[in-house]
Amino acid sequence: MLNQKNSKQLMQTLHDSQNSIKEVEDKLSIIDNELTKRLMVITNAQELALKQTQELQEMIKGGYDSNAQTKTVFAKADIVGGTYDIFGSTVHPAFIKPPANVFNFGTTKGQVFKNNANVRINDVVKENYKSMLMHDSIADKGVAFEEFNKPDITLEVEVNPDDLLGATDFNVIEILPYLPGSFKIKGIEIFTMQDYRQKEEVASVAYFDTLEDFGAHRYVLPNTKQLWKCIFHIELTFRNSDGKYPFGLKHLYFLKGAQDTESEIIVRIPRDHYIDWISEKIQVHDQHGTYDSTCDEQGIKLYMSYITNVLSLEIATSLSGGENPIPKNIKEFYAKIPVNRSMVSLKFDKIKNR
Amino acid sequence: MSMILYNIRHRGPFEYDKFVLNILQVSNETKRLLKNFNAAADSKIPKKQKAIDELLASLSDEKGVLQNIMSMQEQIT
Repeated sequence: MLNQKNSKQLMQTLHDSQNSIKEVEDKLSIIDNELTKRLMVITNAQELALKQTQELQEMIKGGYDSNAQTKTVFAKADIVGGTYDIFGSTVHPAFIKPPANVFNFGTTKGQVFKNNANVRINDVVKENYKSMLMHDSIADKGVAFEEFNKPDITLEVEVNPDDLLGATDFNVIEILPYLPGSFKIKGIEIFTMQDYRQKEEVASVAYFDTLEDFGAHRYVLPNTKQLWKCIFHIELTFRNSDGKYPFGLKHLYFLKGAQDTESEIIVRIPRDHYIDWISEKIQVHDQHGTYDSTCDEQGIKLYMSYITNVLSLEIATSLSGGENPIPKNIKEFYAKIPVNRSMVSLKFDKIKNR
Repeated sequence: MSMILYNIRHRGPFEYDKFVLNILQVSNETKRLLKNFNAAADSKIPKKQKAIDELLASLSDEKGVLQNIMSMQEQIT
């Protein structure tokens, strides 16, 4: 026997139907927002790729600097040995074991986001900005991406000290932008928990080295800090066809992991011709920017041979006063480079052909 | 499977029966819509989202196209 519904039950049925429609509407709206964000990123990424390729063409047309061949970009280099880790543009000291992530913790079912921090861009807090702190493997991770009207922005991550959910110690900042090469970082200010307790208004740790053309990067701190707040001062250098400055990070991780202090890389540097001598002067591009230095200052040693993990026949570099010709016909040499911070590239002032 | 939709006239007798039938029809239709939508949301849409994410990753991940172009620029400058 079927019970006939009374008016109240009928109205409840109608109400349930309305809720179902609302549920579909809400889900559609979420899907629409996520797709719109992703399309926005893809459109901007394609536009940036086109712009960068054109710049590359112009550089090549303008005459390829033969001295550029003396440069070794570690992300593309033939690293034949050593102890190191690599991420995006950078090589950095090797983690002894996988690092812990301040804002995510691992469980048997995967990563879980702690959701105990606020992320502000230009002092505006938005829920979707938090996506950049979420681990990439989390299924409902959104897209933290926006277009701005002005090129200078500040990105601020602030932990809620009343809702810590574990230690906030970190020694590495890992940044993966949606648009690598579309911005530069002009400064990083780190406020520690001690700064919070002492109500400090000036960050106890600050780096104001300009990092040009910032891509996937790990920034290594000399020692561990207890994070309360971190402020990035960013200048957006890519303006899209709508006249806006797009910016977004796929992830921004604060990592804590013990690193091998004896880290080093052994890079094979091939040449088309026999090498006569190699300059002592070098130009280093690392997490502090690009600067002139010498092999001696950086603890870099050069060798003619690397066989079965043994470097032999050390090469004496040449200073401007005198040249040290290599007493052997070689078309390649090996550089042993100590890695105690994130490094992008190394350029010898001169590698003279024989 | 689509249900039978009755063409209920506004005027005429059995006002209350028509009112009840209308509500039940709306309820059935929304239940069907929600079921189909959830099935799509659980299978087709995540697949398409994953495809878009993979496309995005190929462009802008740490080993993506933009990162590669950047490394090439670094090599030349």
